[in-house]
Amino acid sequence: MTAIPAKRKTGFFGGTIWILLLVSVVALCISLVGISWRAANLAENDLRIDMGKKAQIEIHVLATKIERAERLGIPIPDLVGFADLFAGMQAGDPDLMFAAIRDSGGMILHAAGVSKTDIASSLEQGNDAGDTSHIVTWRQLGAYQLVIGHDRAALMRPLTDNLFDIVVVLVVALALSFELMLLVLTVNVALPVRVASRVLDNMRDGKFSLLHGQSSRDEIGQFMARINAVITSTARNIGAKAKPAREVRLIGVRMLAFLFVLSEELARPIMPTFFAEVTAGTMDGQLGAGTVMAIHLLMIAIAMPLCSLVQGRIGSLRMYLVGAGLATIGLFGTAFAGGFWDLVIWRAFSGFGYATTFVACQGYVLDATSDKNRTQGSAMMVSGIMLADICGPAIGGIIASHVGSAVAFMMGGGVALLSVALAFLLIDGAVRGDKAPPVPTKAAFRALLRNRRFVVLVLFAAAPAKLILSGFLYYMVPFALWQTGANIAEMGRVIMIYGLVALLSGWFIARWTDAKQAETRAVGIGGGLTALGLIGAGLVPGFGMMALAVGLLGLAHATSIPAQLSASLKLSKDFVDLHGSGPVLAVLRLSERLGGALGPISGAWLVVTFGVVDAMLYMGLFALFCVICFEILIGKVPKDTTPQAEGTK
Amino acid sequence: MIRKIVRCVLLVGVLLVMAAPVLRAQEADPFRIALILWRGETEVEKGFHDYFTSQNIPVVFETYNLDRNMDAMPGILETIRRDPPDLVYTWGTGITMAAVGPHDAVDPARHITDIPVVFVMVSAPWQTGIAAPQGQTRPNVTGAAHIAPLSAQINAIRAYRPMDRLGVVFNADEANSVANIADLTALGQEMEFEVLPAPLGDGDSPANPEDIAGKVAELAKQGADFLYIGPDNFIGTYRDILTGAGFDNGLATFSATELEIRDGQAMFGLVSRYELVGRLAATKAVQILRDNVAPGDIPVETLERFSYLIRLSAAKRLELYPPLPLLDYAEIIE
Repeated sequence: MTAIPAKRKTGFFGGTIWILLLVSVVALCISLVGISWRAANLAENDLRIDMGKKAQIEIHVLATKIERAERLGIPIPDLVGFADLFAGMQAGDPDLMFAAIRDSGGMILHAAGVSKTDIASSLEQGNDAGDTSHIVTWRQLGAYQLVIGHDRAALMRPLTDNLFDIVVVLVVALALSFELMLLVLTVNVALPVRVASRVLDNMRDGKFSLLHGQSSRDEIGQFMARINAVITSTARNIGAKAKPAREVRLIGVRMLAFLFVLSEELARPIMPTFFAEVTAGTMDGQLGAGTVMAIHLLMIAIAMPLCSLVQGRIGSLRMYLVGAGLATIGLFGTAFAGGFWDLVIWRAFSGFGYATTFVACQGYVLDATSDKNRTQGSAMMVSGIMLADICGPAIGGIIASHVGSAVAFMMGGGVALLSVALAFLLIDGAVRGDKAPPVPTKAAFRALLRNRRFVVLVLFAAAPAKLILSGFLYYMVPFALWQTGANIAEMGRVIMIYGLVALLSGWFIARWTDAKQAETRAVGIGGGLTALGLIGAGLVPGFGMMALAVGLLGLAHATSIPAQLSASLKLSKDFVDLHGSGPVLAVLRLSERLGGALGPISGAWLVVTFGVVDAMLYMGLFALFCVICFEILIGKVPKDTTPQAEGTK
Repeated sequence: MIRKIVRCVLLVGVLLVMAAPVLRAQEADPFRIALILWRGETEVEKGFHDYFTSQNIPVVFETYNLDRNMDAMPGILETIRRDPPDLVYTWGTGITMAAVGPHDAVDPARHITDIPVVFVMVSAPWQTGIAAPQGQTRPNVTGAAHIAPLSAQINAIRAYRPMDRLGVVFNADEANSVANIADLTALGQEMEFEVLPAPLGDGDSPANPEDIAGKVAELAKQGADFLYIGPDNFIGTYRDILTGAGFDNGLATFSATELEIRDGQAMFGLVSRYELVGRLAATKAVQILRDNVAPGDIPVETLERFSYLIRLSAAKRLELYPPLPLLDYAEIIE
């Protein structure tokens, strides 16, 4: 296996890459904001005309009602309910700020929306300067004048309404650009240069045993082709034989991991509502959605261990192709599903495809790395996954809100299909594991499950964490946000917060956990933060609290999930010495996935029984119960060596 | 082909000729319905008649008008027993109670037990015991109630103006009025308003219309925001005295029944249109007579939609103009 040189030690914000990233972000932000602002200014005249038409219709409706009252003999000064009438109109047009009736002397008889003083001031300014914070429209009613005022800022509404969408698109565009740049630079520059360096070092040492085997047709390739010719002739002269040297394009797995997770995450914000709609004919929609989501996650839980067993024989490339193909079929099928049973089948396809591609990528990393650089290889895959976790729901929410839920699934299918094509380029078919993964024995599992602390970790931390992730974040949050009147794009943005917080906080928290050697403490803190967010969302329902709860969940999982892995190995140290870490990781992962599969179904049951707000509260209390049990039962854990952590999904 | 068509036409013609005597017999044998009325025919009976006409169901109505005299009731029931009609229609709580009795104290000697009875204008059929409690039925009795739910009435009052105290002058001898006051008082605790009851009459002396003005003045002093006319035959009869006293004391009157606004001077109300109540009762009568459904299997119901009525002349007199949003859906009577 080839080795990835150790990274140069730099601070978190040090290094050229961060400066480049910063510059590109700032440049993109400035240009996008400038373009948007200019576009809004250019559109202002058109918008002003549209607003004028709307104002004329509204004032006509208002005047008609007042004239009718007048015809019935109700004197205008004695009108009652003007504010209520205005409130009804304002509910349909939030840009309508006030309405008033003035007599011929300019005295305001009736005012609604804002105080008489403010209206008078606004009308006065309008008379003097012709430009106020309100666009004023008036109409004569005999001796009286009816006036309505619209918010002038409404002219910029198309910009401000889409500001979050613009930011999301910007972030996603940056992330994709970053991924592509990283891929292109690594494949075309970094890897050839690194191999060239090894070949030249070999030459300098007078060995002439390595040829540059990292094919490229650019200047580096042409230069190294001449060097190869020199090495070949020299090696012939000294009676040696030179072998081509090359490095595996491990970076490709990052892009593939990004793509297969993105294909699933694109539809994340709309899954519960879309599934509820499709399954409504068979069972209670909310329960139907939970069941479908649970079956998908259960399929992943079942398929992953099975795929791991055959990955060595099939090879990563073929396995990825099969998985991405299944995911494509599943996602397209989901988009056109007409009822509960066919939806279950399509989601099972997707789940199987997801598990297969995940195992293929994981297997590829294991096969293409050595013990020295395995953590870096895993980190590369995990960073692709995390990026998709952040980008997928947000961009999927925008797509679904503009072109419909089914299209979001089709887009996911399209991404999965794209990954099929890219897999041929990005997975090195020559990389094969040199030995099959060891299959843990039943005796080993029995010995492991007799470890009380490990069982406590699995039952009260690992499984509940994934249960809450799928039950709360994937199932309840979209439902709850939908009930608060949030649109799909907003749902996507809220779900995105989870990945964003986890990504931004993960590095710092991991450093703290490592430094303090406090894995079980971190697991407990993560559980507490989860409970805090969920109980808060249950007690103070609303959009803001929901976003906060999702952020807290991201922070909680960044704190606890990597620590669970380290803690599981530390708590099973004697077992690991005897049987290796395989069974520990297998049990931990299986419990997580079963917890994940239980999440939507238990979430659906809670929502159907108690309503979505109380359901969040009860899930929060469940989280609290788990963390209390964990803290009581885990006891004091001795400080010891820290095993390497890897990401998880 | 043409022969086949001719044969079919001839066959249909023969069948029609054969069926004609049967159809004529049906025409000649219409249903007989006895109407027992409190004060002559109203819009309710118009709706009742119209429904039969629209359904082309032949029916003969035998009208017994009490003309507000309950003493005539035993004689009418005796007449009905001697020559039983197909169905008896009763108007109002008093007549219905006299005709069928409370569900748990039926006396076959005094009450109708073997003829289907359909009642109308019974404001509180369950509270008065005319209808059996929920889950039970009366074998020969069903009907249509006409009063909007009390909470909807209170919301209707508050849609006009804020209301904290509701003054009610009522006849203490009428079971439906007493039941209504009890329900209003209970609702007052829930919806945060106070009921100011002003009963007329008691067990010993009957209600006297001359006491109405005094009671209204008393309610005005106690701070009533509105006067309320519920389902009360006595107040219905002397409604103009009540609303007149209201004008004198600056109090507007809300009514739960239509006539007090349409024919009287009550300022506003949430009511069932009498004609629609009649049509609802007629649908039940048709189910019994034509479709042979047992009256006990037909639920006692009220309408699902009500009308908001405003008498503008009363509003102008009190200078209590209707709020603008109400003009969108209220029926204005000028």
